Amino acid sequence: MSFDQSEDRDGVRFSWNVWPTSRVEATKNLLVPLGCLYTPLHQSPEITQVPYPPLRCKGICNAILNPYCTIAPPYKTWVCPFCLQHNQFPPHYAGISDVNRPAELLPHVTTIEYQLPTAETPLPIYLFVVDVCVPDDELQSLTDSLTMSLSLIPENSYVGLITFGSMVQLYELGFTSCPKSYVFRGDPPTNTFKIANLMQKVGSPETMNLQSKRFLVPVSECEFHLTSILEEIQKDPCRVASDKRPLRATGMAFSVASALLSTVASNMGGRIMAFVGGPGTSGPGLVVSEDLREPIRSHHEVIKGKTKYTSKAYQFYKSIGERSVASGHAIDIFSCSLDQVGLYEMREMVKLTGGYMVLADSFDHPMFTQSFQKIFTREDNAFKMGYNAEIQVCTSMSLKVCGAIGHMSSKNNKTSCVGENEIGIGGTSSWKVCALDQNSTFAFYFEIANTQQNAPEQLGLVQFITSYQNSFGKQILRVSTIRREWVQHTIEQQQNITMLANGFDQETSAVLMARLAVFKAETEELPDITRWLDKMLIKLVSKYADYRRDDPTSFKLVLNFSIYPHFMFHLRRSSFLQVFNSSPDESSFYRFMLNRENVSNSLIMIQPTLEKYSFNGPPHPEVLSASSISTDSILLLDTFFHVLIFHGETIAQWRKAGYDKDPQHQNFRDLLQAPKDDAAHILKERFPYPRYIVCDQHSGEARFLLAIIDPNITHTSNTPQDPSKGEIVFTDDVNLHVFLEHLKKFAVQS
Amino acid sequence: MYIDRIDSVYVWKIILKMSYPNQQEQQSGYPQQNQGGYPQQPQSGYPQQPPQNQGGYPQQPQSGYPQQPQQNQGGYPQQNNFQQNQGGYTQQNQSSYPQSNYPQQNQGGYPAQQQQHNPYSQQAPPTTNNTSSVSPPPPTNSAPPLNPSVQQTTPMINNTAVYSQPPNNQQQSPQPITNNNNNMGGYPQQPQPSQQYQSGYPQQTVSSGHPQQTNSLSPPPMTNNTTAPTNSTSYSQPTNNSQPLTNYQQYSPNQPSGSNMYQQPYQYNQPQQQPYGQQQPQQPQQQQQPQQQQQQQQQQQQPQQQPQQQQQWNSNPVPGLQNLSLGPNNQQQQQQPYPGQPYGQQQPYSGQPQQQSQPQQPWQPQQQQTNQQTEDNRINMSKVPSPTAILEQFNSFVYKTNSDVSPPPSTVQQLVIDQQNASPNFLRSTLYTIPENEDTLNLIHIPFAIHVQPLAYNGIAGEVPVIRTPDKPIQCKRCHSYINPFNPFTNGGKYFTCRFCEFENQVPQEYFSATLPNGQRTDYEQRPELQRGSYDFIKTEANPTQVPGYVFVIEVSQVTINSGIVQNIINAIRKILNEHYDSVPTKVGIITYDTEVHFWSFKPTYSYPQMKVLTADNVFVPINDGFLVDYRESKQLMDFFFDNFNTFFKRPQPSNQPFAFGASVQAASMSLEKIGGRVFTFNTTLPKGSPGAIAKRVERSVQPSPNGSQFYKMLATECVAKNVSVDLFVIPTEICDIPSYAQLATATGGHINLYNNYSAEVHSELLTSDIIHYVTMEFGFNATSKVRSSRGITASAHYGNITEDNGVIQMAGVSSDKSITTVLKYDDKLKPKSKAYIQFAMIYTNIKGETRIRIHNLRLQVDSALANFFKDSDLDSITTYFARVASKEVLTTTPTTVRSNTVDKGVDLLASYRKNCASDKKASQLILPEGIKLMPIYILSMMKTPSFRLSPDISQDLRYFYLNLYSSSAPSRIIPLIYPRTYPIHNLLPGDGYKHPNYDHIVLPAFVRLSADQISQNGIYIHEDGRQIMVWIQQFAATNYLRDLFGIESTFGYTNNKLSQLYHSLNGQNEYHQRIEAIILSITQLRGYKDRPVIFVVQGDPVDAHLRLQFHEDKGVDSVSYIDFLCQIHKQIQNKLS
Repeated sequence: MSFDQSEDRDGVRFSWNVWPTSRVEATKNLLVPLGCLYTPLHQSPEITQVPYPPLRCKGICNAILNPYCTIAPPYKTWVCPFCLQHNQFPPHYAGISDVNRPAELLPHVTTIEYQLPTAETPLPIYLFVVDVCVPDDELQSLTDSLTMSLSLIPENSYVGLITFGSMVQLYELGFTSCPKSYVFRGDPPTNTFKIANLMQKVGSPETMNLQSKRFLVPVSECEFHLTSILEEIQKDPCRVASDKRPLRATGMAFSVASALLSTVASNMGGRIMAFVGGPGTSGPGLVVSEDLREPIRSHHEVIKGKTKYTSKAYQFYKSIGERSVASGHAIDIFSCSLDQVGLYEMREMVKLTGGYMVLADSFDHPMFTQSFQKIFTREDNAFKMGYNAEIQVCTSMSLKVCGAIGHMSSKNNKTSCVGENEIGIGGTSSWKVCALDQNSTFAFYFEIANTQQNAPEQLGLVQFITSYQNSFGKQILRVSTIRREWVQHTIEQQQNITMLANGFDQETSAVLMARLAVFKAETEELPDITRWLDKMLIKLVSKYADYRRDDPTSFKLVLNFSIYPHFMFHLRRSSFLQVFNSSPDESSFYRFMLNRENVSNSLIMIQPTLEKYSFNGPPHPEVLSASSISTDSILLLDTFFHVLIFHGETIAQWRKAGYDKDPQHQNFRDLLQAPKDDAAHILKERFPYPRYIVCDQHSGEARFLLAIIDPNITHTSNTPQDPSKGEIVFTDDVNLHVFLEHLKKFAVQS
Repeated sequence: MYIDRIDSVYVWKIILKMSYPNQQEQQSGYPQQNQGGYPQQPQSGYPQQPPQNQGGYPQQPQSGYPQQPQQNQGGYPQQNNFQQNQGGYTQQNQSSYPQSNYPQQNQGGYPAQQQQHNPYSQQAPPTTNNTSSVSPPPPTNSAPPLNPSVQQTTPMINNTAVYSQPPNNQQQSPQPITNNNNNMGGYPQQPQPSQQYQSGYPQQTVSSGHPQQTNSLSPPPMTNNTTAPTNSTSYSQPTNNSQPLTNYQQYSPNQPSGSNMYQQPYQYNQPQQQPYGQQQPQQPQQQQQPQQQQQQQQQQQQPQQQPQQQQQWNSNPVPGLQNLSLGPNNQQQQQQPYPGQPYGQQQPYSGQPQQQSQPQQPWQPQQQQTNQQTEDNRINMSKVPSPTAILEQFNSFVYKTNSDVSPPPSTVQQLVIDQQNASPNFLRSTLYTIPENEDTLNLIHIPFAIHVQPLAYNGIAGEVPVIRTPDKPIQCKRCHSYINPFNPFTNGGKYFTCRFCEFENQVPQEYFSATLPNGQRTDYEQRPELQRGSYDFIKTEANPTQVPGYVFVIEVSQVTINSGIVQNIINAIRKILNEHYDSVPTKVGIITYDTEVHFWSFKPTYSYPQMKVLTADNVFVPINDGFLVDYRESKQLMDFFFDNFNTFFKRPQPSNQPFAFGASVQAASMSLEKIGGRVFTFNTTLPKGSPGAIAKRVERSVQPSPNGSQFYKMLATECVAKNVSVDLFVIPTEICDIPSYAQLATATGGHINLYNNYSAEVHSELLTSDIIHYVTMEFGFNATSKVRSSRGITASAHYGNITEDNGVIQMAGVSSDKSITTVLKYDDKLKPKSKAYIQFAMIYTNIKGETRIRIHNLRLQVDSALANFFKDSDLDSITTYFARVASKEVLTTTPTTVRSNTVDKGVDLLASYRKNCASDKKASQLILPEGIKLMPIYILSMMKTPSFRLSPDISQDLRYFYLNLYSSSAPSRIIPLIYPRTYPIHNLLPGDGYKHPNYDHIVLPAFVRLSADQISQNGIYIHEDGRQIMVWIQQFAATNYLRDLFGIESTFGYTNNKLSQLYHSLNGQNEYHQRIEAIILSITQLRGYKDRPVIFVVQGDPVDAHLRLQFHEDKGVDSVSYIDFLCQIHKQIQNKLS
C-alpha cells in the first residue's frame, strides 16, 4: 500500500512507513522523527459511516474495535490489539461470523465514522467581534461582509455581536425594540477586573443560557435586527489626536467574548470571529501604547527581549485561549491592517483553539472578503466542519506517542501510550481541538518503546479517535486505525537501513521537520534551529545516501530522498525560519498556517511551485531558481500565501503594445490567459485567500518572486549575463547549488 | 419644650397695639378675613364674629350667603384702596376708575354682593363723615410740630414721624378728610363705633400730633401702634368693652389701606392709644353681635356717602401722583404717605419702617381680664399679630430700592424699581440700618446677614441689564470690586473712588466720560452699571464647547412603570424639549437604570435610539459621542424613544432589587466631566446597588448613614470639581434615606424634591410641573462668587448649598431658586452717619456657554440709634437666617435642641428691644417691634414644619427635604413654607381675581389665618405653601361655586383627578371660573413659577389631613398654640429683663 493510498483512505501520512524494531535502532536510524500527519476530517468516499456507537476496549487503552482485532470463532469475544485485553461482544453483536461482520471489522474499513446517538447539540455559534476603530469605508465593507454572512450561516445557528473600540459593546440581540448593548470599559481598573466575573454582572444568571436567546440568537430570529444593527455600526467616535492611535480595547473584547460563550454555551460548538483592524492600545492585552511615536515591536526587539507589553499581552491572550479551550470554542482572528495588529501576541488564542487566522491588508481587500466568505460557503459544498473536538491516540505497546504539533491543546490525559520523550505538545494522549475543518492537519510524533532487539509480536498499530460535533449539531466519532510494518529484523545492518529507506516519505518528513523547527522557533533562536536542521539533514543523508567516503562527487541519493535536501534548503530560507522582511505578526501568521495545513499545502509553503508558460511548449513546472526566469515567458508562482503571475520582459512589452487585443495574436492572448485561469483555480480552492499579484519583470512586485527563488544567478556569479537564461538576484544568500555541494561535502566526511 | 398653657397660672391679656393695626387692616382691606371667623373682627363689630359665636353657620341663615355680605363689605374698602392707589400712581386711572369699574364688576358678577355692596357703601360714608369731621383736624394740627421734635428726642417717635404722613396729604387739608371718608367707607364696622370713633379719634389726634398724621389724616386710625407708653397705659385699663371696639373701628375706618395703617401707629405713639388696649381685651363676642346689626344699619346709610368719597379721592390722589412721578429721589415721596399708599410705593414704604420701629405691641397680660380670656381665647387671637393682616398692607407695593428703608415683605405682590440698590428679590439684608460697631450689634441681637439669590426670577421688573464690554469690566485695582453706582467719579471723571477699599482708581481711557458738575457722568444714561443695583457683565461670549449638558437619570422599576411615574417624567422631558427648547442647553442626555445603568444614544446618524447598558460595578461613560445631543437634531430618535418607552422595559424589575442609583449618578457625572452641567435623578427606592449601596437603617437620623454614604460624599466632591449639579427627585415607595446621598444636591447647588405619599392621581401633574420648573429655570454653572464690603465689615460665614473656599463661594451650579446667606461681621468701627456698601459678584456660565458676571450692590445706613435697627430690619431675612442656622444645627443636634435654640434667639432679640427701646413700658406688657412683630408666629410655625417637628411619623426623607429648603431657599420661598397662605375664594370681593386697575397683576383675596376655626365649612379655599397650590373644598361648599368651578352640585365621590378634569373642562366658561383661574395663576407667578398644577382636595382626602397639619396657629401634637407661645415668649422675655 502506497503512502498516497493511506492518505486517501485515512488521512494519515507517516514519515517512516516501516518502523524500526527497537528503541536503539530508532535512535540510530530515524534521523527524521517518526511521526505522522493526521487530517481528522479528511474526506474520502471510502469512509464508512455507521449510525451506532462504537465498542470500546475495556482495558486501559480504551481503544475502539477495529479490523485489526482478533476475533476467534465462537465470536463471543475480541482481543484488543493494543492492550491484548479480551472483550466480550455485547448481545447485539451476536450475529458475527466470518462472513458476516460489522462494518468496523471489515479489513478495508480502517477509518469509520460513528454517529453517536447523543442528544443533538445546537448548531454552531458564531460570535462576531468587530473592531470599529477602522476607517469608515473599511468598516462599511466589513459590515457588508458580515451582513452577507448572515445569509450563509445556517438559519438555526446562533449568532452574537460584540463591537469594540475604546470600549467593548456586547449587543443583546434578543432585545428587538432598539439596538441594546452592554458596554464594558476598555481599560477596567486592574484591581477589580476578573474575566471570570464579567458575565455575572450582565443580568440575572438564569437568563444566561442559550435558551433565553439574549445575546446569542438564531439567525432566523435576529437577521433583520442584526442587519439593522450592523448598518448602524459606526466608526468609534472617540476622537483621535493626530499623534495618537485610536484606543482599541482588543483584550477586553476577547475577554468579553470568551466569557460570554463560556457562560452561555459551554461545551457547545462555537467560534469567536474577531475582526481586528489595528493593534490593541488599551486595557489588558495592549500591544503598543496609544502614542504614535512609539512604534509597535519588531522582531529585533522581540529577540532582544526589549518589548514593553509583549509578554504580558501574550500571557493575557493565552489565558483567554485556555478558557475558550476549556469551554470548547474556537477563536478566529481576521487581521486586516497594513500595520501589525498584535497577532504575535494573540496567536496563542487561535493556536490553542484551532481557529482561523487571516492576515489581510484591509477589510475591503479580497484577502479578507473572499476568505471570510469562503468559511461559510465551503459548508455549502458539504465541507465538513468539526467543533469542540477531541483527538485521542492509541498505540500498540511498543510504540509511544511523544506529542503533537498543531492547533490543539493538551487534555493532560497521560495514559500508557505516552512516551518518555516529549515533542511538541506532549505528555498526553488526547488533545482538544475546538474547531476542525477539512484541512486541519496535526502532526503526531512517536517513539519506539521496544527495548528488545526482536521485532514486537504485536502489530504496529496507531488508532486515532476523533470525536467532534459536526455542522449539523451531530456528535461524530471518527476512528482511524493505522497499521505499519516493523522492519524485518536481520543481522545485516545495511539491509535494515534499506528497508527503512524504502519506507521513507520525504514530503511528510519535510513537513514534520518544518513543524518541529517552527515549534522550536517559539523557544529557541533561529540560527540554532537552522544549524539543527543542517545537522539532521547531514546525518540523514550520510546515513541513507550512496557514496564513497570523502568523495563528494560519488554522492547519490535514492529517489525517495532526492528532493528532501531541496525542501530543507527552502525551509531554511523560508519566512518560517527567517524573520528578515517580515514582521512578528507575519511570521506568526506564516508559522500558524504551516502548522495547520496538510502535507501538500505545507510543501507549497516550504517550497513554492513555479509554473512556466511560454510559446515553447505547454505549461510545465520549473525549478524554483533564478535561471527559470526568462523574458519571453510567463511564470506562475504559488507560495500558498501569494499567487503571482510574472510576465517576462518581452511578454510585458508585447502586452503593453496591445498585441493581446489584436485578433491576429490569439495565441498571445491565450498565453496571457492561461496562467490567470490556473491562478483562479488556485485562488478558488485556497483558504485563506492568497495575495494575488500580476506583475512584470523588473517591476516592484516582482520582488515576491525574487525573494523566494533559489538565487543561483547573482551579481557575484560568473555565469554569463544572458537575459534569456534567468535574472540576477542581488543577494548574498547561498544558492541551492552551493548548499548541496556543502551538503555532499559534509555528508561524505568521515 | 414649650410651656403649655401659661394661662392657667397667669392670665394674660394680650393687648397688642400692633395687633390693632392688623385688625384694622383686615377689616379695612379685607373683610373676608373677618368672615373667615377671625376673632378680631367681632371686636371691631364685623359681621363675621356672629357666625363664630353662633358656632354653626350663623351667617347663612341671615343672608343665604352669609359670606357674601361680608365680601361686599370687604370689597368696598378695597375699592377705596384702589382708588387711592390709583391716585398715588397715575392720575388718569384715578379719575375714571373708582366709580366705574368697581361697582360695575361687583354688580355684574354676584348679585348677592351687589346688594350687600350697596348697603355697605351706604354705611361707609356716614362713618367717614363722622370720623373725618372729628379726627382729621387734630392730626394736622398736631403733626407738624410734633414730628420733628419727636424724631429728635426719641427714636421711637422719630420713626413714627417719618412714617406716616405724606406731605401731599398735608398740603391738601380738605383731602385728608376725604381720605378718611374713604377709609370709613371701607369699614362698615365703623357705624357702630361711630361714636366711639369720634372719641377714639381725638385720642389719636392727641397722640399723633405729628405732621405726618395730619397729612395722611386717613391713616391715623390705621396705625397699629400707638406709642409704647400710651399703649401700655391704655392696655392696662381695659374697662369698657365698647371702647375698644370704638377704637378699633375708628382705626379701621381711617385707614385707607394697609400702608396707611402702618403710618398711623406712629401717631398713636401718644397715650391716646390706651383706649386701644382697653378695647381689645374687652371686646367680647357678645358685644359684637349687636355691632353687626348696627353695621347693617350703617351700611344702608353709607351708600349715599360713597360717591362723595370717591370724588374726593379722585381729586386727592392727583397731587400725590405728581409728586411721585417727579421724584425718584424725592424725600417728599418718602414722607408722603399716600392715601392710596400701597401704590404710593415709596411713600408708604418709607413710612412703614419707621412705624415698625415704634411698634409697641403690648401684650398686656392683664390678670384682671383673665376671666375673659379664659372664656374665650379667640378674642385674644384676634389681637395677636397676624401675618394675614400685616402682609396685606404691602400688597401692590412699589418699592424703589434707593429709599434706604427696609423693603416690603418678600411674599406679596409688589413692584420693585431698581435704583442703585439691588432689588430685594436678589439681595436682602436683615438690617438696612446697621450699627457702627459690633458691640451694638451684639446688643440688639439681630443677626447681620444678607441673603443673595443671585439669579432670582425678577418678576415683572424684568431681567437685569446685560453689559457687553469689549474689555474686562472696570474693577478696582486694589480690591477687585466691580464698577458700581456708588463709586463717585472725581477730578472731572478721571478717577473714581472705590467704595469698598477707598482706593482712588484711574478711569481707563476707553471708559472715560466727563462728569457734570454734580459728579454725574455724561454717559450715565447709557451705563446700567452706574444706575442699577443689579447687572450682568458678559465676560466671554458664548462658546459652543462650553455649553453644559443636562442628563436625566430615571429609575425604571415595576413601581415607576406601573404607576406611570416614568411616563410622567418622559412627558415632562418631552414637553421641555418641545416647548422650552431655549431654556435648556443643546446637550441633553437620558439615562435609565434598574439594576443596570442604561445610557441612551440619540446620535442623529442612527435610525433608532441605542441603549447602552453598563453592568453594575462597571461605571464609566459608554458613549463617546452621541449621548449629549441637541433635541432638534435628534428629534426623530428622541421622539421614538418617548413614544416607545414602554416597549423598552417590558419586564421591569421589582423594587427590592439592588437598583444602581449610585452607579448611574456617577456615570452621569462622568458624562459631563468636561463640560459640566446638571443631572436630574428620579428614584423611588433606597439605593441598594453597588456602588453606593446604602444599608437600611432603623433610626431616623438626618445624618448620613454610616453604611454607604461615603461613596456619595466622594461623588459629590467629584461633581463639584466637574461643575456638575445634581437635582434629586425622590418619589419614595419606601424610606429612601435621602440624607445619605443628599450631599449630591446640597454640595453641588442642586435641588431636592420629595413627593411623599405619591399618588399618580394627585401628584402626577405636580411632578411634571416641577420637572419642567427645575429643568428650565435659569441656571448658572461653575459659579464663583465673592462678597465685598466696605471697610469695617466683612463676610464671615456662608450658608447655603455651596462650597466655601477661603472666602470665595464655589458652586457647581446655582439656580434661580437658590439663595446664599452671607453673615457679616465687624472688623472695625464704622463712621457715624455714613453708609456701608456691599457688593456681591458672581462669575458663572449660562446654558449658552456664555461666561457672565452678575453683580448685586447694596447700600446700608449706618446709625447709632438702637430703635432704628429694629425699625430697619427685615423680618423675612431674619427668619430666613434663623431657618438657615436651625437647619444646619439640626444635622448635628436634635430637633428639640434646635427648637429651644431658635426660640431663644427670638427671645433675645425681643428682649433686647424691650430692654433698649421700650424699657419704659410695664413689664407685664409684651411689646413687639413693629417690623418684626410676626417673628413669634414665624418661629412657631417654622418649628411646626416637618424639619423640626418631633412627631415620629416624619421620615428622615421628609425632614431632610424641608431642611434643605430652609438651608437653600430664598426668603420669598421660606416664608410661605413657614406660614402657608389660605385664600378663601367663596367670598371674593368685587376686585378679586381681576386685574388691578393700576398695576399689572391680579388682585388676590385676603388670606385667612392658619387656624382651623378660620375655615368655614361651606367654604372653598386656595391653599399654597410656595410649593403646592391646592383648591381645598370644604364639606358644605356652596353649590353655586361648585357649579361654576366644576359643573357639579357636590364633590361627594369625586377625586382630585376627576375634579381636575372637570375644572379644566370648564375652562373660562364663567366669570367665577375665570377669576379663580386668574387668582391661581397669579399666586403661581408670585411664587416664581411659570406654571403650576392645582391639586383639588376634598374633605376626607389624605391630603386634607396633611393640609390641616399646616394650621400652625393651633395647638399641635407636640407644640403649643400661637397664643400660648406668645405667653411663653413673654415670660421668657420677662425673665431676661429681670
